Order: sequence, then structure tokens, then C-alpha cells
Amino acid sequence: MNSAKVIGTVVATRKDERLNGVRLMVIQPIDSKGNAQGPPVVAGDAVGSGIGETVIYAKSKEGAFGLPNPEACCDAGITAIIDSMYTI
Amino acid sequence: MLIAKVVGNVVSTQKHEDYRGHKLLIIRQVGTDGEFCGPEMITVDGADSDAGVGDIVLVIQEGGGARHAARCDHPGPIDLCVIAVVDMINIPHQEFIQ
Repeated sequence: MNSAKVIGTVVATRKDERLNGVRLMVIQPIDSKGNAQGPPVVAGDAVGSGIGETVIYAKSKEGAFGLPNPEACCDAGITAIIDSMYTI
Repeated sequence: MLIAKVVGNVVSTQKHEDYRGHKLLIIRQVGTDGEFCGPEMITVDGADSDAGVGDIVLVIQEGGGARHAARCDHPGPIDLCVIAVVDMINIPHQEFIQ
């Protein structure tokens, strides 16, 4: 898993039917200091995150397992909203 | 598996139920010389290993194995898991390392 910041949403009406009901959020992967780690990606949302929140997202097929429809064709899924991070 | 160092932890109350009962640790991959050589990632700690901040750990990064190590018996959103806390790494022939 990785941490990311939710920066936007995606609206798509013509899409794979298994993505119906899945909220698609644009997320920017970040490290614990808030520095960007790679380009923004789109992830399905499983915990009701909002724009501006720091979240945890799972990659590959595990990302879809957190969604209401585990068969959704999704390779990134938001699985937790981060309250705080501590690093040495 | 990855050799990684635990550099922090994450507190999260609103999360997927498969994360309940696990510590969420921030790790970074380290080389055999102990230098960081990868981005920060977040992992759950395994059922048997009690890793803490500053430990060198072994992390499995394949989803099926990670869920197995985290005692998650159904498809869940876990793709990294700590499976061991390293006591020592012994590489007698340094020339083998590229």
C-alpha cells in the first residue's frame, strides 16, 4: 500500500459496467512528508474519502478487493483515511 | 521479499475492516549496505512479527502471500505485509553485490 492525497474526482458515464457505483478519485501519491511520489493516478474509493484528505491506497488486484464489487476492473483502491503519520 | 526499514507508523480510524487489529507501518526498502533505495510504502504487520519503528524487516509484496501472512482468509486490500524482523544479514562475499 501507499499514502496519497485526494486531489479530485473523475466522472465517466461510458465505462465498464462493473465500475457502476464506484467513486473514482484522482489521487497524488505522496510520502509521509507530503512530497509527491510519482504522477497522479485514479483510484476507486471504498471508505468515503473527500478531496484534500490523506489516504492509503492498495495497488494491483488488491485495490479492487476493497470495493463493494470486488470484481470491478480497478488496480488502485482507497482503503483507509489517514489521521496522522509519525516517522523517525 | 524486500529488505526494508520501518521508518514510521500510521494512525487511521476510518479504514477497511481487514486493517483492524493490524499496525500500519511506514517502510522504505534498504540495500544490503543499509542505504535507502526505494520510496516510502505502507504495510500491515504480520500476525507473528512484532515490528516497530527502526527495525529491519522482511516484507512480502505479492498480494496473495501478503493476505496469507496477515491471516486474511478472504480477498482483501492488503498487498504488503511484514513477515519477519531481521536479526542479522550475512553476505560473506561482498563482490557478489552489483
